[in-house]
Order: sequence, then C-alpha cells, then structure tokens
Amino acid sequence: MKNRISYGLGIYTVLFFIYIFTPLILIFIFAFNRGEGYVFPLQGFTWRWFIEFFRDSLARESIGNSIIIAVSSATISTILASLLTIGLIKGKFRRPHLYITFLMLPVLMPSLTIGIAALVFFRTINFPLGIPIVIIAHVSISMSYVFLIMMSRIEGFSLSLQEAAIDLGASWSSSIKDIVFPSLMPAIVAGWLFAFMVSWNEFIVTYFLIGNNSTLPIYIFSQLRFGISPKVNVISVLVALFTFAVILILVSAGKLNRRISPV
Amino acid sequence: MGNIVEVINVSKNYGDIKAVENISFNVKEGEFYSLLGPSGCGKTTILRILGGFIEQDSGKVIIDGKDMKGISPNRRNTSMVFQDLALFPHMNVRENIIYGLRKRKTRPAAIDKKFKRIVDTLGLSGFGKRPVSALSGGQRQRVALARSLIIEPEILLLDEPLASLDKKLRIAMQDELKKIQRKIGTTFLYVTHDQGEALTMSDTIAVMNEGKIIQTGSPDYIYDYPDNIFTADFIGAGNFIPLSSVNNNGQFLSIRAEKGGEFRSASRIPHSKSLSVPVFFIRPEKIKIGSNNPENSNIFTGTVIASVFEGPDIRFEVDSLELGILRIEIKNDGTPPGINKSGKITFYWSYKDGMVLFR
Amino acid sequence: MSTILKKNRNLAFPGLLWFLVFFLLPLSVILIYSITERSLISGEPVKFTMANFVQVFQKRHYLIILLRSLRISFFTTVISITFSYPVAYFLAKNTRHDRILIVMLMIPFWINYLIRIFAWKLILSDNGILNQVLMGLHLIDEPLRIMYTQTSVLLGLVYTYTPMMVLPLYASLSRIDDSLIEASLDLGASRFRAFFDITFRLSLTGIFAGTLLVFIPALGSFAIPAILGGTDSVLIGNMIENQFNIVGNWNAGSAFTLSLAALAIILVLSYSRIFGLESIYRNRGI
Ligand SMILES: Nc1ncnc2c1ncn2[C@@H]1O[C@H](COP(=O)(O)OP(=O)(O)O)[C@@H](O)[C@H]1O
Ligand SMILES: [Mg+2]
Repeated sequence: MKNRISYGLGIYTVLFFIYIFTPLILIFIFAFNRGEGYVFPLQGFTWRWFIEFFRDSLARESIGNSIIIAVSSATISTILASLLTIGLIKGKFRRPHLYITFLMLPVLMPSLTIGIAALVFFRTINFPLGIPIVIIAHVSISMSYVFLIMMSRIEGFSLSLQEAAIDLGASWSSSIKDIVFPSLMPAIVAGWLFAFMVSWNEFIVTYFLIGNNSTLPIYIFSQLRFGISPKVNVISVLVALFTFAVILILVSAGKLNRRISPV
Repeated sequence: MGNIVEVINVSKNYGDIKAVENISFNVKEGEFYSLLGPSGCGKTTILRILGGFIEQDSGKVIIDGKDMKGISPNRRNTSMVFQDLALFPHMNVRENIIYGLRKRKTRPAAIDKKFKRIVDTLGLSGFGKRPVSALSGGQRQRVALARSLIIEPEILLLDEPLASLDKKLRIAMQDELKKIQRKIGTTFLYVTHDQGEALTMSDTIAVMNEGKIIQTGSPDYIYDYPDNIFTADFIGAGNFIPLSSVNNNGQFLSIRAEKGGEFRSASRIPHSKSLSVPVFFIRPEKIKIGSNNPENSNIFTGTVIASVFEGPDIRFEVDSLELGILRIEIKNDGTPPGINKSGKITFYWSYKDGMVLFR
Repeated sequence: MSTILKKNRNLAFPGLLWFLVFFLLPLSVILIYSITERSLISGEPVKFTMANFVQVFQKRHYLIILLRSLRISFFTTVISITFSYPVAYFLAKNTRHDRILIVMLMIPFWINYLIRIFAWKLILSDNGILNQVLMGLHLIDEPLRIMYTQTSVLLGLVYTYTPMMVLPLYASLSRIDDSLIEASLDLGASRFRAFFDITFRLSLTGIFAGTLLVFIPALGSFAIPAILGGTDSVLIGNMIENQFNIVGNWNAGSAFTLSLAALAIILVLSYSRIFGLESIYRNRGI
C-alpha cells in the first residue's frame, strides 16, 4: 500500500516536472529552428538567431543592465538584511518583535505598490528616474525576504560563539568578520540568490522606474507586442546554460549536500 | 602563593532579580576553585563578570593585582570554556584551537609548536583536520579546553562544561580535567551544580545559594563540617532530626529530639539567628548497625522499612520511634548485618559524629 | 549590560534607516497623494479629499476589476496548493534526491518569467501548439479559444507561481518527524486519519508561507494579464498602471495602490491569525 502510494507520487512528480519544463523546452527548440514563426513541423537547424541576437545592441545593453541591477540590489539587500538580523536578534533591542512586524510589511503587499510609492516619491523630490532608483526599489522589495531567510537560520546561532571569539582575543569587529558572518554563510548565500532572482525577474517596478533605459524583462516585454523574434529565445538558452554550469560546479564541489536551496 | 583573583563585595541585579548579592571570595594561584550551587543561584553571572562579558553593579574584581573595571574580555588574562562549548562550526579542530593565537599575531612557527604541545597534552593528536561536527562529546570538550588553554590564560573559567555529557563520560572527564589542571598548573575557576563533580576535582569549594556564598572550604571540610542546613543538604546525603532542646553541660551537648529521643554530641553549637529551629544533622554512613555498644555513642532501635542494594553500599530506611525516619548507609563487606525477621535493628553513632545546625 | 549586545545592536541601524527612507517615507508620500486633489508639485494649495478612495469602491467598473483580481488570485493559490502538495510530499518523504530536484525546480526562475509566459502564448494560441496537436489527432475540428481569456491568465499565474508553493511546503513537510506518523498508526489511526491529523496539520505553516509567495504576487500581477489576457481579464495591477501611465492621475492611482496594499495586508493578517505571523519566518521555506 505504502509503496503504491509513493510510486504514484513519483509518477505525479515526474509529470509535474514535465509541466514545468515543457515551455522551456519549446523555447530551446525554437532558438535553433530556421523558420520565422513558431509552428511545427520544424524547419531545420540554424545559428541565425544567435548571430542576430549578438548583433542586437539593445538586447546586449538590456542584459547588461539586468545583471548590474540584480547583482547590486542583491548585494546591498543581503548586506543590509544580514546586519539587520544580527542587530535585531543578537543585539539589545527592547521590543524586537515590533520591528520584525514592521519589516514584514513589504512581504505582505504586492511589489507593484512599492514600485508606485518609489515612483511617486522620487518624482516628487525631482530625482531623475533610471538605474539607481531601480536598484533602490529592488532592495526595498527583496530586503524583507532576505531578512526572513536570515531570521529562520539565525536562531541556531548562539551568542556564545561570538563571546568565545572575543574571549580568545578577537576585537568585536573581527568576531563579526571571523565568526558571525561565516556561521551564517549558508543563509547569506540563500538570501543573495533569492534577492538576485527577485530582481532578475522583476518587471513592473522596473517598468515604472527605469526611465529611458532598458532591462531584459523590459526588452522582452517590448518585443512581445510585435510578436517575438526567436532571437529572444537565445537569451533563455544562454541563461539556462549558465545556470546548469553553476549547478554542475556546485554538485561536483559537493556543496549541494548542504542545505543551500536558493529559497 | 598569592591570590590571583579577588572578588570584593560584588553585586549584580537584573531588574528585581538579585542574581549576585554582595559576594566576596579569593582564588589562590594554581588552585582548582569551584562555585557550587543549584541552578539559578548566580554562578554563571559571577563567571561572566570575571570574564568581562557583563559588568557588576557594585563591588570590585581584581585579577593579578589589577582592577578589571572597564576591561573587555579580549584584554583580560582569562579564558572561558562555555557550557555549550561554543566551538566554531565552520572551522576544523586546528583552526578552532589556534584561533586565539592568530588573533594575538603569534608567529606561525610558534603556533605550530604550541599547537603540537597542547594536542599532545590533551590527547588530540591527529584530529587537526577534522571538522568539529565529526567529533565525539569528549573530544569536543577537549577541543574547547585546548582552544582556551593554548593562549595560556592566568585563569580558566569553566561554566558547567561537563553538563551535557553522559554519566560515564562525565566521570572520566572529571578525572582527566583534574590531571590536566595539575599538569599545566593553570588556575581553574569551575562552576557546577553537581556536588560530585565539585567534591572530586576541587581544592576549594564555595557553596552558593540565592546569589550568596554561604560556605567556603576544602571538599572534605565542607562535607564533614557543613555550617548550615543548605550546605549539609546540598552536598551528600544527610539525616535532619528536628530537636526540641539543646543544652550545653560543659563536656557534651545534651540533646532532645522532638520525638522524645535523648542523646549526646561532642560538637559545638554554631551561632544561630534567634527564632531559628535546631536540627541534628548526621550523615547516613556515620550511623552503624549492631548492638556491640561501643563507648561514647548514642544507641537507638528502629524498624527497617526499606533497603536498597547499591553494589558497594547498602542503604536502609529505618523508622525509629524516638527520632523519626533515618537513612543509614553501610559498606557491603559480605557479612550480612544483624537484622532479625521482624526488621527490628539496633544502631548507634559516636558522640563526635554529627552536629547541631539551625533551620 | 553586555557591550557585545550593544555593539551588535548598531548593526541594525543601516537597514532600519533604509526601510524608513525608501519604504515608509515613499508610502507616506502616496498616502498624502491619495487624500488630496491634484499634484503636490503643482504649487496650488493642497485640498484634502476622500474622493479618490470613494471611487475605488463606487464605480462599478473598478469594483468588477477588484473582485476579479481577488477571484483569480484566490483560484491561483488554491490550484497551486493542490498541484504542489503531492510533489512537495514526494520530495520531502519519498526520495533521497530531494536537494537536486529542488534546485532543478528553481531553474525556471532564472529564465525570465516573461519568456516563460510567452511560451505559454505559443502553446495556447488559436494556431498554437496545443491546438495543432489536438487538431492533428482529430480530437477537435475548431481551434479552442483559450488565449486572451481569464482562463489563460489563470493558467499563466498558476504556472509561474506554483514552484513558489512547492518550496515552503517541502520545507514544512520535511521537518515532520516520521516517527510521529508511525506512532499514530501504531495507536490505530488509519493512514488517512494519520495524514490529516498529523502531516497535513503540521504542514499548514508551509501552506501559509507558500500562500504569501503566491497570492500576493498574483494579486498585484501586471505583465501576465497584459500578455495572456484580453479585455475581460484586466486586473488591479493593469488598472493602476493605466492610472499612472495613461490617465496620469496620481491621486487616484495612489488611492488604488494603497487600497491594493491594504487589501493584501488585511487578507493576509486575518489569514495569519490562524497560524500566527511568526510561522512566516519560523518556516525555513522562505
Ligand atoms: N540576562 C538576564 N536577564 C535577566 N535575568 C537574568 C539574566 N541572566 C541571569 N538572570 C537571572 O539571574 C539569576 C542567576 O542566573 P545565573 O547566574 O545564570 O545562574 P546559574 O548559572 O547559577 O544557574 C537567575 O535567576 C536568572 O534567571
Ligand atoms: Mg549557569
């Protein structure tokens, strides 16, 4: 009985993964298909879309902007959130739960509202739209998520570790550098990946705040209006290859045995 | 040998809780000094004051002749072994042990030499590359000790370091800790709620209760001559016979139990607070079974209501009409004690054993 | 008190300051817009009004969009719980390859969701792959009309956010001690009862955390209805975008935005009364 259930669950899980991956596979196929449209039967292999993609300066610029925004917002957000978590949970605060509740607000509302608030705020103080504002807004969105990820792990961090370091001769700042941060590294990595992912996928807030620039989602969205050229699919292939490479490196380094699932 | 630690009238409150109340004590250089008391009596608080993690509200802490006021833990010549050991989880054994030396900017050659010496002393050779998560409880204990000892502190502060070990390992580690302390000669200030631990390892014990030190002395002195009920009760086992009167007739105390039994004691009456109730205290192993009537002893009879075989010892619970219920402990030397079928026994103790205390 | 704790506390201030300046302050600015008439920058005297909020709930058109958004995000959440529960259960209890499968599940997130949504457009459109296959097999004669309906929007939302539900569910399920279930089976509970009394109840925190990650983004979605939806599937997100980019009425737009935020917070908080807000961060899933 039990075996039959887990067999059934296994089959269901395989179907679920097929469901998740089918759209991606379609995209891959059409990145190499000679025809302009998206119809079967396929019309033979081509590198044409790759060449067209690399010739498209707007596409290259959009990817570059997306990477800049995602890396900077994830980094700022992770630094702020991990300091915030250490300070709130391992520091002397009278009512930490009050702060925690407030810090959860961004998680409880759609990111669209944060984008609108940022748009109105920066326009009101006459600050020009553009990449810096997008980074700021992305940090405001992801910081609370990273904070939550850190919170769920910092409870396992005992203050006596930090005390032991200071007792053995470390200054307070090197106790943070040598002991606190490295002990929280898995959560920091998970938080950074999550923040990167939020920013990488974020469309609506960026759309409001980016001004005359473009990011990958903005570029794709603008292409979607006229029927999308298969060269856009090339982006997915490249991103997927990159992700696979990172996963392979992690697996071969044995890092995936630890709990660092990105969320 | 001078005093390496002087604690003078130290108090510490947490809100309304008096965690430590006007405590004073001295620790001599090279001594194994234990603070013994029940959970919540303020032991950790004192230790953390000495280590510099918290500051006392009033009073003075002097270490090696210097007032420690305002001196942070990393500038004190003390080192703490934490109750949870606080081994750095992301470092291997060697990295853990040499952390303090690295912070002191010790040269690599000296680090290697000291590391080798300490792991040899503590039986940790060959473990250097292991992650600390791959160690047994006893090994983790030794790594924590090595990590503190390698920086050659004048005083090692230990906060119930054996509490998390199972009983067998705990007893083995007690012996080992004592040996290590003898070998390296560092002053140990040891905190525990386990009287057995304190008795076996310490040179001096300070018994604590409710934020105060109530008696100080060597383990055998404290065991044999507790000067208050708390100490008598907390350390070892004891019989406490409520008394109705105590008279000093010059040579002996003539004592009358509440249940009517009359007997003598060669002890002195300690001073008492007025309104306090006298109690006669005697250890179970000081009471003998038999009717051979030795000189200068008190003889009574009673009925055995329970007996427990404990290997080397046999423990009886005896109901005596004139004294109440008593615990008696005798050595198991193979010859059965004289107990007849009805369970009636005669027992006695010497005038010089036991003492009057006040409740 | 310990100086270590005091020094640690200071680490919180940069983050708190950021939160104050770049989250609470902008939010207060749109609060001001939402209760005034005309732009603050225009220099004209400020007049307070509740009209911006009143119209959200009075104009039939807006109310329909509001209710539609609630309905679609509710169904998105329910469907994603149903879809992902067996998967999360399998990952947590029936396989040793759970870590690598979780990482695989994350791969789509690295490929922009707009591209994935575009792929759904290819699948669902009138001459799309689904219809090509179905007509090729002669199961249907006329192409199915799925694109540009509420169904296609729902499909897109479910597809995009379901993996977000799997993760916290998996985390909460894998923390359940199997011996608890065995104990209750020993005590004579049926497998079905044991599942509901123990497994399901203990996974409620995971469902809650997952709901936050699915319901809220779905409620505020803009791009998915814009790409897959038609005129009958405009959601609040699209309406707000319209207020700012087409109509240009910041006061009404701010009122809409705040109503959306308040709605989300009220719904989640009342939902969280069942579980306690701490379950969000107690749950390793997020
Ligand atoms: N940080 C603190 N805040 C409030 N009360 C404390 C704190 N630390 C200790 N206490 C209280 O002080 C008393 C002594 O604690 P402690 O020194 O830890 O005792 P012990 O180590 O002997 O068990 C206890 O009543 C404890 O509850
Ligand atoms: Mg303690």
